[in-house]
Amino acid sequence: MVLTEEKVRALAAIARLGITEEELTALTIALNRTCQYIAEIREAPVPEGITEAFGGEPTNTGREDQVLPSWPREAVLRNAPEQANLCFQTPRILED
Amino acid sequence: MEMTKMNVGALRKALDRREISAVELATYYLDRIAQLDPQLKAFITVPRAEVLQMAAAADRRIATQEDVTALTGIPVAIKDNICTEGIRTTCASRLLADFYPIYDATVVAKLKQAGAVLLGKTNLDEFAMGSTTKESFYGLTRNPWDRQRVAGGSSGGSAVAVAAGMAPLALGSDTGGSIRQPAAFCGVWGLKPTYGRVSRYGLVPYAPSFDQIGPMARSGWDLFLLFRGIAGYDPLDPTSLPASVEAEGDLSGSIRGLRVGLPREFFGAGLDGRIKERVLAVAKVLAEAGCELMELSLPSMAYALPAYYLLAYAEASSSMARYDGVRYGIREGAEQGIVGMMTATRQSLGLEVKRRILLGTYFLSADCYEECYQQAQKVRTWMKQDFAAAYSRCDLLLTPTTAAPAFRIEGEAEDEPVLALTEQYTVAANLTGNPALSFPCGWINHLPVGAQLMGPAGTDELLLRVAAVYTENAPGEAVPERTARDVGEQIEV
Repeated sequence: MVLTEEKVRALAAIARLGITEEELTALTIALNRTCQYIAEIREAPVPEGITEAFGGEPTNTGREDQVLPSWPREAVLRNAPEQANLCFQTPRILED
Repeated sequence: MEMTKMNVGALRKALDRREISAVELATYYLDRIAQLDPQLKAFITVPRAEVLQMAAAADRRIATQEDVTALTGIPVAIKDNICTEGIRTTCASRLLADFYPIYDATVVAKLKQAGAVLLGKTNLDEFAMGSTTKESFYGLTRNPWDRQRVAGGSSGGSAVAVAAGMAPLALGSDTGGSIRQPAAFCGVWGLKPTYGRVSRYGLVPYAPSFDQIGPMARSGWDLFLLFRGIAGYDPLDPTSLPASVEAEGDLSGSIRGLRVGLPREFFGAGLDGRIKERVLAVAKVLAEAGCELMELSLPSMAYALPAYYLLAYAEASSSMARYDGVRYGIREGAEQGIVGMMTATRQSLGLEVKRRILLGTYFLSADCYEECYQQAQKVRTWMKQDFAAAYSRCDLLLTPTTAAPAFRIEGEAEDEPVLALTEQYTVAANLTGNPALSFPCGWINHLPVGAQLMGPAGTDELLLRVAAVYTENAPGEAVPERTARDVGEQIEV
């Protein structure tokens, strides 16, 4: 479980996370430290028969469908960095 | 009238008898914030005009005696990762420096309905990711008992606001100990409720299967009043528990015959011997009040912290994906296309948030998923079973909240083993979803120490009752003998 700077750079690209070269160095050291620490979990003596699910705990509950008022579009757009025609505006995604 | 020395019950009486108005009370706290906060930095935003408007509305309710509740006219500080309509909610991030929510979190709506006065938004580690309140874009919060030491975190601002008498009550959020650890470091009470008892609607998510909003206060009774004001079923939160477990009752009643477990794993290596001594003194008081003490073991605890890191960071990487520069927050690099914009926008996040996003992304990758992430899920299930077995033998568990008192801002706050030590006793309650309470139980020199009570789901009030009995029967030097007012006097203004 060793993360190289290249691997950390690749993770940052997957996460769409801008990091500087200085941060890359610091983060590579920090990430490896945590990975080293958590590695022991692979050896955890989890008792037989334990799965990921735990019976009897609350689960997500769906509500009956109900028509309720929604937020006004103007209000939702109030915090948008850019908007146009009552829509969020983003840079062009598809080429012409 | 020395208002910082009065508990919420006394403030209620003073308001109802018109000895003081809600506006005067709010003004008193606003002035105290103006006086102390430049040095402590517990608050990010204090909307003075809105505060006074809310207080005036509370006065009108009190004048007509209509819909007056225990919290009408009482100021409450709100952690700045809880949405407040029209009041800036930054999550202590540069990214949300100008974010004004269009709705109130359910807890905020409940407080407004009860007539409480929202005093301001308190400082935290960015997006609640941290245990020092150092990782805030708006500056670090200092411990009022020693300003060279951390307040704890991530609800450090709320803890300091209450400890220094800048608010009688505050809301925090707790994902791995973020209410209880700063409560212990600052000498106040803090409750991480049973998962689902307090709505998370409007809480900016960090790790949703762990996150809970909870109350912070200077006494058990004050804490109970705020808990009762925010607990209850909420259809807007799909993980909300049914109404049948809503807060009820009071803190009276005997604790005689309760079985209190002392789990070995919380009293071993790494624990400051002086804290151990204080917590065992709590056990002694409880035994004198009629509780039965028993030692027990929770073997799954050895893997609690690795499991927490794996699962919480994985959830964090997913939660943070929403900050892409499209719907809210700042936008940067729009000229670089959509991916470039997302990447450049997220560059402004702090290093600790980036560390957790990257680790979470890695834990969910094919390299790690099966061996580590799924294993952590199994450990979480094991812990739930392990704790359920313990609760079949005892009614609740008594442990230290932290392994050491508040550490120094310089040096120790960057030391990962020191940070891990502060989280090792608190994460279990978040992994199991059970309630946990931190309450003051003494001092090490000039620094407060906290004890933690944990119980099975739904025992939130029982924990409060037991801690209240301890406080009533504790030797004088064990509970904070210095008052919040004295904290103010220590600070040069």
